[in-house]
Amino acid sequence: MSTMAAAGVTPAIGRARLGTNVLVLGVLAGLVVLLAIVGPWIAPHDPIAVGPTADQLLAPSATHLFGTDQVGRDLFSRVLAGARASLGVAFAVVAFASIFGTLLGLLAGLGARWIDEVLMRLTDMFFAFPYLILAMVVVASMGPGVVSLIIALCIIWWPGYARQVRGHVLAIKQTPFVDASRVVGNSGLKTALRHVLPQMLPGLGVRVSFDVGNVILIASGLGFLGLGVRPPEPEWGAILYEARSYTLSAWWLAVFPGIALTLSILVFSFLGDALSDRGSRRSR
Amino acid sequence: MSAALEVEDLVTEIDTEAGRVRPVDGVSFTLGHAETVCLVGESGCGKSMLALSLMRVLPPGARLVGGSVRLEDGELTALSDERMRAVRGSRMAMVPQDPMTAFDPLYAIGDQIMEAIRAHEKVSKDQARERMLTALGQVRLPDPPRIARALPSELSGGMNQRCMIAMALACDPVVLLADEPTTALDVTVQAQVLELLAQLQRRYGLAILLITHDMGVAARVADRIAVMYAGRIVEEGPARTLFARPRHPYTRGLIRSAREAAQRGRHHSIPGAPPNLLALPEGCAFGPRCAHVHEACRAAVPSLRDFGEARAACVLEDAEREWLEAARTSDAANG
Amino acid sequence: MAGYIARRLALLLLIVFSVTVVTFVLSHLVPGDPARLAAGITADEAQVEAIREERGLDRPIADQYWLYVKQLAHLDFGESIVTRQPVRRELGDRLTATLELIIVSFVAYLVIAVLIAVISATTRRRGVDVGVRGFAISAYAIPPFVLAFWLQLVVYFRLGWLPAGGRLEIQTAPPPKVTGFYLIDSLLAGQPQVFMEAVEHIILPAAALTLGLIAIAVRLIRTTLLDEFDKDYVKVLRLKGLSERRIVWRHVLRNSMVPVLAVFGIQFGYLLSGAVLVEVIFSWPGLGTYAYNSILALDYPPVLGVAIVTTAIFVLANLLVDLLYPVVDPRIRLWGQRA
Repeated sequence: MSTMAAAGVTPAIGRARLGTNVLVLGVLAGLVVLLAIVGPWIAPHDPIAVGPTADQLLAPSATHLFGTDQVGRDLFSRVLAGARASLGVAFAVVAFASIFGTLLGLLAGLGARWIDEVLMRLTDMFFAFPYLILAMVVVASMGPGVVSLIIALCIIWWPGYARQVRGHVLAIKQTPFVDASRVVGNSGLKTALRHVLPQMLPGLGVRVSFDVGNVILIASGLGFLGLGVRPPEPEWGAILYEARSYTLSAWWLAVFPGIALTLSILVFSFLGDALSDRGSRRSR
Repeated sequence: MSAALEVEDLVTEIDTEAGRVRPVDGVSFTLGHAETVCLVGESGCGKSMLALSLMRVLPPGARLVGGSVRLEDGELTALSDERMRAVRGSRMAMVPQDPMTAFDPLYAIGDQIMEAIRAHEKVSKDQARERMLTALGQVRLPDPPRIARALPSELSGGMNQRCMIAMALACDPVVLLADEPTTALDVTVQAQVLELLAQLQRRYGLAILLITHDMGVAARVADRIAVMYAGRIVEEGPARTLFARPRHPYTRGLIRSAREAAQRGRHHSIPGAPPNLLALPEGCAFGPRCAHVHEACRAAVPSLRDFGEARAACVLEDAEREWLEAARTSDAANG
Repeated sequence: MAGYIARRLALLLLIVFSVTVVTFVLSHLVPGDPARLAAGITADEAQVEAIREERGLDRPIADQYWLYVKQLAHLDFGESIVTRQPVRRELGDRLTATLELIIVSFVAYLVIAVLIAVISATTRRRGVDVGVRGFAISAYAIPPFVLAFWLQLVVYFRLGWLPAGGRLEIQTAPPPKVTGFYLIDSLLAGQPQVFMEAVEHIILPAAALTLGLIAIAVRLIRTTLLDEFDKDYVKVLRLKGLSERRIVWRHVLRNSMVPVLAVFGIQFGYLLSGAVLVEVIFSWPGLGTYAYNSILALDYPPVLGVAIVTTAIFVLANLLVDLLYPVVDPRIRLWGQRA
């Protein structure tokens, strides 16, 4: 049967074009980021200033694409501006967590055995802790706001990176690369940077992509609970929370921010998915 | 007495990315009771596909498109899926190639054999267990109860192969299809398994179709041999006749390979590559690799012609044939 | 086996221990004076001081912590600053509410995910398979609280099919407490209407919790199943003459379970955390709303209690999952050698 395969006689299976997937999604993700950055400037109306009473709770129309909220603000502008909060937090958290986690993971993998043990127990502990409660406690005790939100989320996210990097390092340590490097006389750090790190980048890339989506999800959840970005700065989760009081009268308040959330999470999750598919195909 | 298995003009098609091919393209042969027929050919010539076609367990994208398969006068190709399932594993059974991956790794051997028995016969659990242990004894496994409790991963390749054979025989089949039963085993175990099959045949009148790429195996156990190339039978006949006077150049090549392997431990393969079923040459499929190819070979696909007790699909005339034999005898003298 | 479990339980204690340290420390970073909060706005200095002494709030932090740990050893979680009730009692009620929601969600999730995945992997109709995969991909991206919200919006506010929140209608009395699970207790007490009402109330929150998780599980199970179908032993099972149904459900599914079990364990964690948001939206009187309200009120003993209990649940659930591995795959040995 396998020789038949070699002769090109495998049964027909659908095969996605993987390279283009990554490209398309990468572009989409870039678009989302771009929107987040320029959002507040290209918004048709002021996302923060309270609008005239006459404009309160208007249904979607040509002037107000997504309708208005309870104090007369244009929802479309708020959603657009809200992208900045969600994505900003997401990127900040992922950046810090990934760097910090990677460093610790490298340390654990390349360093002494006891360092590794300590790290493993530490990450175990963090994994077991109900992360939402931890985040809530941190934010509440430090006072709600962007900074405490980012710190809380960084605390939750770094162990994942540390573990993954450590795992990679341990696996790579088995291969001849590292031994060869050491034999030649490179120090541990140099070995790490030149040989170990590049091999881990694809895997880390996948994680980063997924995590952007995940952080957006959790951050908005916290915003929903009132533990995130402070008003009047628009944030998707917070807008949804306000929408709770107006479910019967203003469905648009609940729908559009939710869609925005779902779409941005989708884009980054798909990107992570496509990257991971590409990674596994290549290594096959 | 009717034959155990009669195959006529069997054709199997399979859809691939590059097109539709026929790994089995008009195969016919007969298998009598208590007879061993060896189906010989290089890897990828369609032998396994043939066996799967007989059992009607084809991979997705493959289908039987023509021909007949008669098991003791019952036409198998006409059976509904459900009825075929009743035949499969009970009246006609197959032993697959790699014994180590053939069993479900999560269940004990005994349970899996009992499952086969109870799938086909209405017996109680205890009765099935009795039969299972008997079957394990039949294949000369020591301590059947221990083996029955074991997981496949706990047994060696040879033992797994015996268990496979036991499972295939558990329901008393008329025909046993054995797909490369010795390939995945080491040499010492190979001989044991072949000897076992021969014993079982003598005792139970089992008809065996043994698929192999190794003429040496065929030399040991075959009553008749069928040589397969590019989905077709190119030579077929009693084993003695075939070895004494192989007609088809491909058969010659296979026999020579086996001799070299046995005498010098060297693996001699036939020059050239196995045929690409998507791009078969005009006429005889073996043409590109044949030392004696000429015009007539490319004209049309040669059909099987009678040569006494055997049949071969080769256009070489008798005169040239004698020249060939002379050449061959001198080979034998030299090598 | 006993040794293995003992080790895991020891690990559990260690983790719970660290959880208490973290939460305890965090709770003391709170601006504000817990003694004053407890005493109330109208209290004068002397009363506040009295409370401070009574609660040991004037002692160094390390002492306070050890005091707390000692209490914990007796399963005393302290008193809520706000309600003055022992946290333990409130925790108990809240715990069963959350457990009921989580267990029902988890069981539904398992059954539905496996069913959909098997159907998707074995169906010959491409449309079904593509449809399922599309659902899997999209359901996964909707944040659970958004989903919860939308479900509430559509199913309750627009369609009026299912209730908006709570475990039962406000006017309905809960069944006599045997287990604390309304679904069980109502049946035990022979109250079918209460049972139906409890079912109606649990559907939406459970759906919100699980839809995203189902999506992930379906993808994984489906892929694993498809990979398994290519394996040799499946071909042999067919050659044995077994029915396709038996092959799928008895053999292929079991062989697919090991990687899936790992995911189930992780997802249980997400379930626990997601429960907080879902509980808030559906006014479900569980640990989530308890923690949330307490955090907002800066009332820390309940928060600590919830953190500890949820962590313990999570670790125990993982232990359970780990114990299931050898059941699913007899080749896996967690401890010692097989006889």
